Amino acid sequence: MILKYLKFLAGVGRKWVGYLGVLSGLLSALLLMACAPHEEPVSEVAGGELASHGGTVDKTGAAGNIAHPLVIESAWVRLLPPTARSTALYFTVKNQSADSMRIERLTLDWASHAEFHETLERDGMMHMVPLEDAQLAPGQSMEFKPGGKHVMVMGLREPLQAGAQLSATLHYSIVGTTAVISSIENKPIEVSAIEISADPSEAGSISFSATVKQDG
Amino acid sequence: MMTKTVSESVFFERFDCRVSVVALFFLKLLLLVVASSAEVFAQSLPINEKLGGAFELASTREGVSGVQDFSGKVVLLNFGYTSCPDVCPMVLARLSQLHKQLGSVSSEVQTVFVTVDPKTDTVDALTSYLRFFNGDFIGFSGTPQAIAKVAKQYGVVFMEEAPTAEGQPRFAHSDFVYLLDQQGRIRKVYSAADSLQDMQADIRSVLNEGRSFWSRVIEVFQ
Repeated sequence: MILKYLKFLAGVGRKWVGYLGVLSGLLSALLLMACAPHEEPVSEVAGGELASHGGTVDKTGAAGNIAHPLVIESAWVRLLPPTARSTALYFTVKNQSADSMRIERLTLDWASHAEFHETLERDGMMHMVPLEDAQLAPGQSMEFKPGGKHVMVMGLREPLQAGAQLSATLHYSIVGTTAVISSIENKPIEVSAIEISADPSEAGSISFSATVKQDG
Repeated sequence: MMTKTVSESVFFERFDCRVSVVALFFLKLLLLVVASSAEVFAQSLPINEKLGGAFELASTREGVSGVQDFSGKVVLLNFGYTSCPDVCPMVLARLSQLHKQLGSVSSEVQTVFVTVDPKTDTVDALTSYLRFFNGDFIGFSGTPQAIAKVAKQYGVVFMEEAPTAEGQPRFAHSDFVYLLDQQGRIRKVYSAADSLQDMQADIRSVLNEGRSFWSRVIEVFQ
């Protein structure tokens, strides 16, 4: 019954009903305190000492990874009915280098096309638009997730299987910054920065695998 | 100060714990009733009289041609198309999750999906697509004119866009989920930003409208 009562309180979701719950809890505690003199005193836990032992995480890591400029995490492909000819791929990419990176394209061999899209709400409608110029500043992360940025995968070669690991390769380039000097007649010289793609030979790619699964 | 502390401890010593347990029980009972009545007298969701209504479309379930055929059930209605890679499966997956969370009252809620791409989404296509999310979801299709009429009724906007490189249809469309009460009236419209918890609470509140105060108090105790 108490469980049901707690569930009820949680379900109602109204703040003040929550307060009632707290109030009733406090009153219970008070009444129990009244009984306390008859019981063994509870020893205090030395919280302060415990805290000082708290985790210093070994950040050096075991992987000993050769510093790749991009890290890809939580990659997954949406599981859809076997009749589906397209699906979406999601992941989080982080730029751990000191340069700005631009995501260029994604290649895979289990479908015929992959495009970067973004779902945007406009005039009460959800539109899928090509993702323009996906750049990552040093240290920046970009999340591809349902209802937002995603990779639309078209022309699936085989029906999707739950739990399958599908590989994909993300291609990127390094974005350089160059100062551009412009002067207009008598006005003083203005310096502005525009971003241009650096030497194409510096472009790289990172391969990863994505798990086929349902949302949530 | 000292005298007060002494008198307090005397009070607690004399205070019989059995009395306190009984008192606690009655206190909780009182709070329960107050909490239940808060739900009983809580303002119910407003009725949207401008949008919605009955319609006649082909469906994936025999004998069903519109939301009017689910009398006594709360309906969750949404529009989309099966070739949609991102938004529609996300919404349907959320609704499937919601049904799991609803537990025993899930059977009192009917989720329906109306296609905005009837050329591709035949009744058969909808059947195999929706089964993947939840075997009880019902799909509606029909002529483009009939679909457009229903969309207009519900204030849904959609527009066919250039097909993908693979020649698959593409639509821009509203992704709202409509909560209809047992009489088919729109009570709330959700976007993907609304939490499943809020939706669940609304559904329960609409379902509760048909129940008496005492039946709900008893329910709490069961």
